[in-house]
Amino acid sequence: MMPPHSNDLVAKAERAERRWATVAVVVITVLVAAASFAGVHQATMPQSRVETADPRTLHIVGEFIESNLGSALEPDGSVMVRVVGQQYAFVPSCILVPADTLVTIRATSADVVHGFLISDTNVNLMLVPGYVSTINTRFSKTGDRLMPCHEYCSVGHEGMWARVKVIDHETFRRMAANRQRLSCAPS
Amino acid sequence: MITPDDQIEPPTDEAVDVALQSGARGAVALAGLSTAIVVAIWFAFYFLVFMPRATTP
Amino acid sequence: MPLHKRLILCHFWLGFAGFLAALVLGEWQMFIRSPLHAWIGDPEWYYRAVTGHGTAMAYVLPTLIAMAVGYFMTETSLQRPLTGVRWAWMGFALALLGTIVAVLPVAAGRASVLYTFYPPLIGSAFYYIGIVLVVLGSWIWVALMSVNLRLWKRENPGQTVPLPMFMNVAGAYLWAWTSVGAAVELLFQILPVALGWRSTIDAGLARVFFSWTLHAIVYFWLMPTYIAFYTVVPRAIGGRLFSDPMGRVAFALFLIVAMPIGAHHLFEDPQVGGGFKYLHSVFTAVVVLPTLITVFTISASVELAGRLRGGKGLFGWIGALPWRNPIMLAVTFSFVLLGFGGAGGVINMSYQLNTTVHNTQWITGHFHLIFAGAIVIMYFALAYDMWPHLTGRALTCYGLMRAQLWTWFIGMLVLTFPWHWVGILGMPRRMAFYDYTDPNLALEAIPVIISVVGGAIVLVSGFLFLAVLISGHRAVRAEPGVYRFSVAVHPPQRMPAALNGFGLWLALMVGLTAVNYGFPIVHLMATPGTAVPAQQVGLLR
Repeated sequence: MMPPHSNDLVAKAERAERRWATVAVVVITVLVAAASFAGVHQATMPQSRVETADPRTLHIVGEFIESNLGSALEPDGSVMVRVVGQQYAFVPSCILVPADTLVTIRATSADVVHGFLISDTNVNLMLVPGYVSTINTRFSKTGDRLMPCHEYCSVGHEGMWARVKVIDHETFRRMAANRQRLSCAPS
Repeated sequence: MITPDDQIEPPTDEAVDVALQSGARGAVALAGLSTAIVVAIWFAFYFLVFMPRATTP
Repeated sequence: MPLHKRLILCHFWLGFAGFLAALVLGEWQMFIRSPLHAWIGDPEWYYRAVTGHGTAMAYVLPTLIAMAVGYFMTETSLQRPLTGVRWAWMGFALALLGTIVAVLPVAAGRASVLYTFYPPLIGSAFYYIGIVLVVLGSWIWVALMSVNLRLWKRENPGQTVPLPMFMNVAGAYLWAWTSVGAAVELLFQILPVALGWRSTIDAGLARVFFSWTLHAIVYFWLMPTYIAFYTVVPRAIGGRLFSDPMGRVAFALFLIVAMPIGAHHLFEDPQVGGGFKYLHSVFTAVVVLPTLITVFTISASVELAGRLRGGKGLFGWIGALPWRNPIMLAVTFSFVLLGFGGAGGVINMSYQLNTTVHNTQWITGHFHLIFAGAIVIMYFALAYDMWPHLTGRALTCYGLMRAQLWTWFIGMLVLTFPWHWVGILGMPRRMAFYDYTDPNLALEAIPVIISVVGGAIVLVSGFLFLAVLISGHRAVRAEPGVYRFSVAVHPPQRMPAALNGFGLWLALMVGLTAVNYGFPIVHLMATPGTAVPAQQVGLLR
């Protein structure tokens, strides 16, 4: 038969647990609030809507035919980049974009799941065959970036690296006057 | 059960009551400090890694 | 003392055998893609090894350990022999058969799809069938956990369910529900293609089903570790558990919130909308709560043990703890690794912040730190604690146990910290080769080499672990006595029904799943034109 514990100690222990649970809830709320703030102000998330595309006919019809890939200067001054990921290269393999401009990247896969990130940025996108991925971003600095495939896409995955070249807006505009779709891929 | 060099006997209720006198101050200090470090790491990542690469489209 | 020792030992040995083989593969992978080794020429070997490593470490090791610990705790905490022993052996046979059936095609290069399956890549049907068999074996275990508890409750009406069994069964139910996602993906999407009945597959939907399993499975992996924290550690270090009810609250929370948060693995995917991604991000934050509760309760229990040994002051009790006890080392190392792994985890869950690190080596570093580090180190501790009761022989090589735990801890830190760093530098995941001579990748060379060194230390630790277990089989016979669990500081007289049963929590678990996953799944199934051609891997050359 156990001697009764003093109610004092039981109450003390329960108080400590309750106080800690409150601390825990506050910590979690702070993290969620900070993450939400980042989500609103620095959003680089893919689109809210689900869009589909047929990988079997990408190269024949629709917006991802080869002549439509690359960077296009839109009437409102923004730039639309269309990219296709396939085993084992991105097309175009070098993406040309202007700095300090709204850039929308639309991409899909022609075969299996791929994905890419652009180094020194928060641009990070999955390419799932059957679906179109869209992301809005802005490049603040000129220069070259790496764009590796970062999702396993079978045995050539390690060779799937593209590049991104960020040039100043004026140069881009002059180039866009002569050609509908721009890229820095070697032709 | 593991009972290495120092044999460990289960404590008596009286001994437990004595040890509980100081409440859980040590646990609050340790768990609090650890949680604060974790939150600090989060904010360090936010300001030193995420923000320098973030742009507002 | 458990009655069915051989049953439990077989589960432990199958799990640890897979673990050791995969450990060797893992270090080979680290080495082969580092600057220390030239290009191996055929990348397929690497991806084959990654598939084998992931399959063994994710599906074989933790499942078999959970089953072993589960059977052990059923007999020792309920103090009755296991009902359904023939079923338990059948479950083991399925797990063993499944492991072999899955591993053979992987070893032959016919299933290099990685443990995350990656449709529309499709491997040999036998790979998937093998995994299904392992899962079926584990479902038999789930049923036995449930049945044995129900029988005990009938024999002990109105009694409080012993804490180890409460947690054990919670873990079993969590596994049953979370495995449904991958089971649906395997049975209804992948296997029909692998068997040649269909030629297209909705890759986006498959990823959503897999994400259903992918997060909560790590909480299933974590259950034996947390069960050890609450029910073994306080006893082992000569203390008491600070609060029994808070432990039950933590596990009830895991049951509800561990599962429907998987879309945080899909933040960058196009087949789920932004609203649901945000919802999953918030719920992922909620699942931090039971861990924070656990951190406090276990710290308070350890503090109690320190003060019982004469420790004084705000931190002075730490010095008074029984540091020569391997369990004391294990729980401390586990908590340190859990802290750092948890920091990475809350970064990953924070929606926007995830875009900085998704699919970089940061992610790989993170889950090795938290799973291979914080969680697996307690698997070792559980094995050490239970071994004398399973072998009927003494386990007294405490120096070797301490050395094994220290090397695992140090190795894990050296392995995973540089791993996180190269992720920040932008190093992508799962490549068989990196050109470190490229100026853009040059900064990654040295940290990668440091990780290889860490992996080597971890490998040594793995073999020390094997040595301890084998020595336990060959030591002198010794009567280990009754297996005792932690006693609560204030043993509860009566437990509220909500903390003595699972009905409420299971209902909430299923309900929350419907809210968080219902629309995304139904929407994708109703959207036409999302099925794409499958691609067979491992064709004969």
